[in-house]
Amino acid sequence: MKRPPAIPPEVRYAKHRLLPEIGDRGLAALVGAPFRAGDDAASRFAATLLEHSGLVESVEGTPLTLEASTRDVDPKLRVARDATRGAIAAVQRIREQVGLPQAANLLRDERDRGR
Amino acid sequence: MTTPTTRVLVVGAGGLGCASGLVLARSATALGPLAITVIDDDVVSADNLHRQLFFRDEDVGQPKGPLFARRLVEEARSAGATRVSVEPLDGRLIPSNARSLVREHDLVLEGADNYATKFLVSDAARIERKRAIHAGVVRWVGYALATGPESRPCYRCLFEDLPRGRPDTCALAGVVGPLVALVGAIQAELAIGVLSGRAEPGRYVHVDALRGGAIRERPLRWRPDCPSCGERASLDAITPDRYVGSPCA
Repeated sequence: MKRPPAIPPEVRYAKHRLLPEIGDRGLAALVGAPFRAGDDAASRFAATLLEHSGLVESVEGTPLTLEASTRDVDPKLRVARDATRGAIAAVQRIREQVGLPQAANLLRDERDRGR
Repeated sequence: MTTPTTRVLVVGAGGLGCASGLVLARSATALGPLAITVIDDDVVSADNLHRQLFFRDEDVGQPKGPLFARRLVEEARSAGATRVSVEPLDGRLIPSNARSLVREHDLVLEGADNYATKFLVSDAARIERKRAIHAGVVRWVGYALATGPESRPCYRCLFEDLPRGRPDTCALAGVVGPLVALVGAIQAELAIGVLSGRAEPGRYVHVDALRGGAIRERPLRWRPDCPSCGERASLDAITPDRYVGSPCA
């Protein structure tokens, strides 16, 4: 099968490059950067997202940080909550990798979930 | 007794549609039979790949709809859900087809890349008394919004009307890839809440991944003077001149 031509990083990640907080410098910090992820559903989703962003899963990478597990969640919502946890971890890793401060950690604020 | 099939219309096979569709497909064993229709007239481009999870390098230049449908079914099968069907429609949701498409479905997941389509979905859903789950993302910020029963409160209760001028767009301002998936997952969670038959009121979830540092969720407030679902709502037909606007996330 014919392989598609390689896509240059500046084209593939053009929408990251446009962000002032990432730009060319951030892109260089992201593409090829190692991360380590577990085998649970949230970690696997995070790994998929980070690989789409150019990072590479490796035992030499820093482990991802995930929010508390969703064991007590309604089974119908478990996939969605795991995806949310994984995506939060992936966004956090992007922030760390491009040097954004840690002060504003992205966390789900349950206080406002009232009806 | 057989479980009835739930019909879901996905408007836009981009980053939001891929993520919310993926979560919905993987949740399908718990939700019962799903018949999903996806409408999109775009082709995959190289700069989609950092956030549109169903597409690969070899897909560049190919129409998104059929690829989306195939991969969504694969995801559902791999999660053990055999009663998921996906039909791609190559086209756009436009004023002439919006009401009939919305009418044929139980729920709409809107992840369009332009404000005109977002408002069109909102108005068609309200007129047809169907619920819609809207979502949008640009730069480091995103939201997901579930309308209430019969789409009251609705998208116009919060956003009122198409923005004037040239709003921020993914194309012009960029977007964080995993944030699109995060908002798509939240959009799917809101959809699953509705599909599970809970008497969910309207809900609004805001994500600011740069500042603010939280995913904030609040009830969506009904606006008494909303032209679509307010006390003296006047918007009871789809007229094309109402949906002319700029692209967005």
